[in-house]
Amino acid sequence: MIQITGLTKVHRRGGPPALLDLTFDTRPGTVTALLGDEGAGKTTAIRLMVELERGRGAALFDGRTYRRLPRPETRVGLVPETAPSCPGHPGRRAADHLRMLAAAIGVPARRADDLLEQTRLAGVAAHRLRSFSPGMNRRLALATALLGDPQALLLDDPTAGLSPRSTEWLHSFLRSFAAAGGTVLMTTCSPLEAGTVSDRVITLVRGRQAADQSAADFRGTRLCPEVVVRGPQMARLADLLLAQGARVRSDGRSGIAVGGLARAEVGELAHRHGILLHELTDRAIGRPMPHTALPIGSGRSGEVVRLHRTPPPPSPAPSLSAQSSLSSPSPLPPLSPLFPDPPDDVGTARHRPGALPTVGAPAAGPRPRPVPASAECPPPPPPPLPLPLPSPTRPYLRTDRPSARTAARTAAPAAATTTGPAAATSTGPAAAPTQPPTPADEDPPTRPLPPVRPEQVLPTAATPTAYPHPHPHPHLHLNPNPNPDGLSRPESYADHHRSEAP
Amino acid sequence: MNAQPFHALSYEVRRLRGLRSTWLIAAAVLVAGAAAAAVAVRQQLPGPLSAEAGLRTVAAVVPLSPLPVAALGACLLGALSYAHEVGHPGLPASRVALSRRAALLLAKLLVIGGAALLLTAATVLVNAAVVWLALPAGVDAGALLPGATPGPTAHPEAAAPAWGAVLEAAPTVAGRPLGIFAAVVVLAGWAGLVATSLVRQARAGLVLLGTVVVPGELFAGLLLRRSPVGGTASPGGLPAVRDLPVVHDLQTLLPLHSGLARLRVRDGRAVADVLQLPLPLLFALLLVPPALGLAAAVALQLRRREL
Repeated sequence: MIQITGLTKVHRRGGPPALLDLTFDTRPGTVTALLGDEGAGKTTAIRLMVELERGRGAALFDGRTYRRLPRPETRVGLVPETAPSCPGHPGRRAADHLRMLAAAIGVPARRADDLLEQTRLAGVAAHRLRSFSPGMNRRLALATALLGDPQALLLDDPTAGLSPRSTEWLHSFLRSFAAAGGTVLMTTCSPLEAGTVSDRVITLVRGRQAADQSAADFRGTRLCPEVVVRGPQMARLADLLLAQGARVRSDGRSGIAVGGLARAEVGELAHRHGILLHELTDRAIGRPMPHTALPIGSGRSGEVVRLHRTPPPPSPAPSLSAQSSLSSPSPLPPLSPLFPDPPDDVGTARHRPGALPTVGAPAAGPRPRPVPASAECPPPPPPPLPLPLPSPTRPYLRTDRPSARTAARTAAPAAATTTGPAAATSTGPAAAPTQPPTPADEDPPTRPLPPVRPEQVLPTAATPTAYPHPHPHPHLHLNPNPNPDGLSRPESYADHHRSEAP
Repeated sequence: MNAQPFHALSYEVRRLRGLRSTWLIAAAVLVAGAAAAAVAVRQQLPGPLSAEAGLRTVAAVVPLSPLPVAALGACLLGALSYAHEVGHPGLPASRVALSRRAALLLAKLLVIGGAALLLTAATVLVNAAVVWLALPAGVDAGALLPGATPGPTAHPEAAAPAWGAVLEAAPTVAGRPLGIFAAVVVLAGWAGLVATSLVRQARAGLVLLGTVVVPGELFAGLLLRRSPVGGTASPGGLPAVRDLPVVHDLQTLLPLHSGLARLRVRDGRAVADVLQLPLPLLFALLLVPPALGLAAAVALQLRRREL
């Protein structure tokens, strides 16, 4: 049980707070994800929890702060942000390193050897740490965190830069750790990962807690479900699907991604028209965080905000009233978004009588909880992305952060995949890589795929890594769309293709 | 029952033992010490080997170096002990509590002290063997190594040292000087650790230590020159500490104290004679930097979150 209350970090030099009033609890047996972009305050939150940094607020592990725990390693395991770098002296051997740390914690050296086995490092136990890859370093960091057999794990971006296989392994490990009664709190930049592995997702935006959702809510609001279909006659199926009102875009070679229709409906449609399918898979892709109102937090943190002159959150009140009307009737009249505050005028906006009386008055009234970006919220204004305005069909494009971490993360497998029973000849996703379509059945690879409405089709060539791909074939990862100009399909192609169909 | 210090001690022993640099430093100290001892003993004039020269050769004291070779090695070990912990924290969050940091620091001091003692013993043994092997003809090392009288003799077996006699005589002959040597080495190791704890980097810590030790020895030399030789203390002056055997051994082990006396200005006078600093200022220059350093180290440990 981890209780986080009001974690706040304000840097001495001024500027906006790195973390403002983070408050949540985690229960044993659950995985909680702290989701946010770089600079959102995730690492600061973890470091504040174990008190490696000074800040305000408290993080209680079974009722005690980390410093007051008698043997903290047996309660809380920490995988720090630096885990992909060398976790110890580079000249030391892995087994020696882990046995040394076991001695520091006071557990027998046998435990270190067991953990090397469990983290699949037993084969390289005699190697020096300087020869370890980032993935091995992270597994060693995980083994270190597990030395004291803790009940809770704090992981700071544990899958950044990992290969898809290692990511999958780590996810299954975290799930099994939670299933055995442990508490897992991890940070991540990837909404897909958060929706996949966790039971609860807490979204941080620029240090503020923007949402606190269950995984189901999160998947409903922040993840966009779609169905991946593969087969030899995708052009024809796409035309049928578009006639049904679905959103279709091409997805790699000989595949389309369908939005707006359930998997069973797609399978039935294909069956009715006698279209052969090789794969029929559910998948989720991320959707950008709607720029709803940022919560302003407690009165104390409101002070901090006013002190440091952060840009004001745009119109916090409608979401606040929506949230508070769920629990208790709010005495606060909502601040109308029709009255835009001047951007520099934070203090006057907060001190408007009757608007937000909790700001600047710490003891006044119950603290408003952060706002979940759930269905109760009014529809958010479109986010100011550098991209064109996102329509509901657009998946989450992460082109604004073109780092290696992002590329590796978005290449990870997307979501739990299932196979539809209604498909005419549907194969499971696990069988899909082992049964590549034969060339006779396959679309010609150089042919474009049939997205008919160009305004609904994404320019996939611009951001080839932006689409998480459940297909583990490496060439599909490297080249998800061989047809950059596949958006304007000649109409004759569909006719030609249709004539080929049995 | 708090087993924390023992965990920290066991951790620290494993940490020090598992590093290759530890063994390299020890080997380098032994080799350099043996070379210094060999050079020193070859330069001995014929005649009986004085106890002072014997201590200098066995402890591998290099002329005008601030510390003996073994003490320099212990200093380096102490500095690296702290710097490795800062650079590669195995369990960074475990050092957040002050009690655990204190336990780890205590363990580090103990282990570095033990390593310094081992280094001292190894240096003395190796250098004694070097002295015995490299002693030139005509030098009588009877005071140092009873029975070790090399040179052409009619009875070769008489040239071999009587080890029983050596072991019996060693505590009485060399007990005090060797004890002081060991103390110097251990203190040097601790000083390296404390200086590095101030700056969290081994190189910077050693430089910081040098800026304290070198002037400190020079000022101590100035103070000793003020101390009267023999007889009673002059009224208002220093007591006659120069005649104490402990001070004598320290002067042998730390030859830099005579640096200002050897350094001469243009008219031929020694700097030490020109530099007539008042006694309180000399004491302050000698004692204030180490005291400040210790206080800063303690204050920083109270203030820090990581080691």
